[in-house]
Amino acid sequence: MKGENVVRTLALTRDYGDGAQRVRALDSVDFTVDKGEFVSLAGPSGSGKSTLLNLIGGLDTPTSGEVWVGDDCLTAKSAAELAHIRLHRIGFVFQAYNLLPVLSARENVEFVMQLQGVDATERRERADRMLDAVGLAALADRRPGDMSGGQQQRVAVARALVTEPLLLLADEPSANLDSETTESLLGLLRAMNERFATTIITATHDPIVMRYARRHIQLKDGRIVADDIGRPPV
Amino acid sequence: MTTPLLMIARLGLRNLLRYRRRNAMLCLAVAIGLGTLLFASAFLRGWETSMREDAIDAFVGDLKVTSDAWLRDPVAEHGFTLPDDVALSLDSARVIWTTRLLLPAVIQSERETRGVQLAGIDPADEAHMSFVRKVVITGRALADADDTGLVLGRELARRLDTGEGKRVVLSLQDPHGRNREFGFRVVGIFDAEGTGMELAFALTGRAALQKKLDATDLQTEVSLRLPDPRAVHTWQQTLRDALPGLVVNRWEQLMPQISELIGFSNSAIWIWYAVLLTALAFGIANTFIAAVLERTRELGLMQVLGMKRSLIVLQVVIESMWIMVVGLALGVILGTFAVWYFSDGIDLSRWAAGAEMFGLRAVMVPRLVVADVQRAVVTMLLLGLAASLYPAWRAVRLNGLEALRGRT
Repeated sequence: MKGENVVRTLALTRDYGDGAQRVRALDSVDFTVDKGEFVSLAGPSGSGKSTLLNLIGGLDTPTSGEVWVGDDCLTAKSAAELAHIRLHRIGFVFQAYNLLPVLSARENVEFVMQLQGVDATERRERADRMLDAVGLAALADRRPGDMSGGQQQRVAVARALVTEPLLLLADEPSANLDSETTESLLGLLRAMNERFATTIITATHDPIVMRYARRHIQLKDGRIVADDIGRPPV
Repeated sequence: MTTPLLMIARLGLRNLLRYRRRNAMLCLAVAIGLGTLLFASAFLRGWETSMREDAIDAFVGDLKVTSDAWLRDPVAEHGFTLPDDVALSLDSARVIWTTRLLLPAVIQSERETRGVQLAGIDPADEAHMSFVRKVVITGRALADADDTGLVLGRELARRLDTGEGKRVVLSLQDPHGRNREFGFRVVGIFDAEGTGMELAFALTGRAALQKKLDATDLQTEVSLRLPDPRAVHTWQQTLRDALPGLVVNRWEQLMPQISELIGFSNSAIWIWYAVLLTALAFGIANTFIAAVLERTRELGLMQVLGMKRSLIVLQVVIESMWIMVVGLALGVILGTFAVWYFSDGIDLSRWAAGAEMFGLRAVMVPRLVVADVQRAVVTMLLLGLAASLYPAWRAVRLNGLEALRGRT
């Protein structure tokens, strides 16, 4: 691992299926992401962006090649080690929010910290601070079922960022949101990116999301076809 | 409790409340299953107890001393005299004991003749020893061992067409092998729970019978009731050593068929356990699997967020254990209540004839044994644990990502 690279892939390849049914979802992808970057992965359905995101997140295993997050080569890790890396170094935001329905917003934000073993007082302080940062301090005691989609996604962002991860991975974070809520959410991610220097990689079809990212990677048929670094912010 | 354990315990409790209806039904199923199991065990234990007590009460005792010849041919000739030193030892030990003269006889009324066991007893001793203490007597009971009167069972009196105040003749052999006939006046009629005892025995004073047979110290048996039946083997050996010419048997040796029935009852309890628990296991496992499949996404999310697989297994198991613990607590309450409700006995008199054949009393008192409760609760807890491990294993076997996408 060199310099400030947060993510580095080497000839990363992922095939699905066997024999004649084999499909190459990702084909020898090499790229790096530095600390503090806000990257969008775009491309048509089946282009490999979600596959790439899952491999970076340690949620999937490559057929060949390597993927590094910080100093850790995920390819060589066991399931338990990958779980440990996800818990301590990576935050996730999903298309479907994926909050635990029996927990309040605050408890959802506290959840990962509980797994990390953070003590109750610190956990509560950090969760409240993060909910305040995403504009949901007043809804801390509400359960996901009593919140709008946009509010739930903000809670998901708070949960992903509260542990100050090295990397935030967002898979189609705006897919279930209207444009106004998307703008608000992306503004929030951007602010977090600037405030905490959190590295963000998001897979998206959404042009609004792409506008907020500073670096835009275009995938097609499992390969990077364009990598536009250093675009001016929105 | 460490933070993650506290968290998953709380999550488990909330998930229970989240699926209230389903979990309430499952708790109820566990409670009814355990309650039924406990009540059935209590009924069988009651049956077992009544069989044991009735066997011991039928002039047997925990231990019985006889001559070996009397066991093969129970006549007066095969009686014996208990040595005074042994009698003194028994008196000084804290056991209840008595001697009897139990002889086969033919009883004859003006109308009928039947075979019967003539029992020469000491009514004061029998008040602590045998079924005599429990019978209801019409007329009068035997006053003491010198009482020359005869007390007959109600069913025997009915079949002989005789009754209180009438005379009957009993024919039996004396210790010298001679056939003797004695006239007795019926002074009382006893009413036992079943007709078995009423037909089997005719009671008279032991000393009076000895006098009639010109054999003052003759006994055919010594019967003992022990304060602690667990000491029966020690007592058996002690008596064998003290009375080398006689045989000392436990009640199970004298009434092996009852002992076998009790063994059968124990087996029946185990079979009942196995059937009910197997059915329950499938029900529980099925519901737990459904519960896990319903929450595939959540469990997948936990994996994705970095929760250890062992903690996810523990989470599923703890949820199942909450249900089991609540269900089992309700089951114990339910079973105990049912046993308490029938603590005065379950009236089986409608089926008395059939019931007696199986050693059942007309009124059966269920008896809840703590060990049975413990065994049932522990078994069901282990069963619940096993039934929840499978869905828990399924939950962690899923790739977190696929689970998040709702694939199972």
